[in-house]
Amino acid sequence: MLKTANLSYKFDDKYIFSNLSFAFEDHSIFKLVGNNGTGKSTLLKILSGIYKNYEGDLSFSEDDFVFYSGHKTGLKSNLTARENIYFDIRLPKISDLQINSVLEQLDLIDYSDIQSVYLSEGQKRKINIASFMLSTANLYLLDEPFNNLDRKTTIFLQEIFDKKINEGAKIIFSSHDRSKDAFPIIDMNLFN
Amino acid sequence: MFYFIKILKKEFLIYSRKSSSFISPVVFFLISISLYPIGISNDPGILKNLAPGLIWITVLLSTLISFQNIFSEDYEDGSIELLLASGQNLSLIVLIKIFVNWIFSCLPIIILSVLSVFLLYFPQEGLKPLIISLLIGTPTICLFGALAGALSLGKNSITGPALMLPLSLPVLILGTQAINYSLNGINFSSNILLLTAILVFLLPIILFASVGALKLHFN
Repeated sequence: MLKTANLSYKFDDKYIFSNLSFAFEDHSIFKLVGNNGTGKSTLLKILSGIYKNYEGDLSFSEDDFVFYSGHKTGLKSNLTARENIYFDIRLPKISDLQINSVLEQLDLIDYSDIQSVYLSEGQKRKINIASFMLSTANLYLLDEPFNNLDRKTTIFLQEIFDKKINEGAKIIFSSHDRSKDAFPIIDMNLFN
Repeated sequence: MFYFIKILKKEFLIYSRKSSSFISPVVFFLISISLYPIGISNDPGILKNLAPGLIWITVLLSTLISFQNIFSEDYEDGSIELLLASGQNLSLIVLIKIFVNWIFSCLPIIILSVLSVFLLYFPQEGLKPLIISLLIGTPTICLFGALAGALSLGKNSITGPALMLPLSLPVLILGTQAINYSLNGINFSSNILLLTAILVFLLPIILFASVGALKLHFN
């Protein structure tokens, strides 16, 4: 279980958010929504261990293994889609067969040996989704994963979310989209 | 161990595809070494005396071209965030990045420094101390470069060199002195030992400091 108690984050003497308390059980998913600057990305960075200078308490289960995907894709421009997945620091040892399988599902197989500098933003985001699919983590922290995705991939990613949750994972992701989908919401506007 | 081998292979692949990372320092070195006989003097006696210092200064300036890239691309494309979130040993990752940077930006220059025999009338008997001092001294310069690169992420391009050059002065002095000692028939081993001691002593300190500097940008 992931728990926060009175979690606050200050930047230049101004609180981005304060007194955030929640608990994430296994098999759960939460969508962080809120206006720009309300701390959605900051919260994900705190939970992933990138930002350390927060106030309040944060506790993980010993078996929590984190997969973080930020606003920036982390892809190397002169590596191909396949190489970017193969060398992804977040992934365990994976075979070419596994990479081919996810690239096929994401309609990226024809672009797998093209350097990522030549790919569109949507295709770069898809490479991150491929890593997400191949990850064996159980806590996923995803910063706006639906950005730049077409309708088909958006639906596909939602299906992957369901699959991961059924396998016992916890997913927290940020989004600007407040549409009435099935995901429970944490509204960061309430913690400013 | 699996993750570190993975990072090592990845860094090698990235550098091998980024020709500017090793061509730019080499071209800068070759142009500078070729210009000294034109700009200073074509008198073999003068060039021979100045050669140890000229070679070391040129090597130092050549490395300036590449060290800013050690972390800047990772910072811009978000890779550093992923490394910080990965929970892996960051010091070891930084060491791998510095090692690969040294292989691609310093090793070719060290090999090409042999050309100074022809271009600067550098005595052949001085090649051994030249190569040894460069092999031991340039990793320390790369360490300083990594620290300066980590501290100056996102800042203007003059900050890194301004931090790195003063730190590199002892290495420059010891390296040049070792070659001059050798050319004058004096035992230069104490200089090489001092260069080695500096490298061994600074390696863990600078790795620790570089990791701290990288984390500083995220807090």
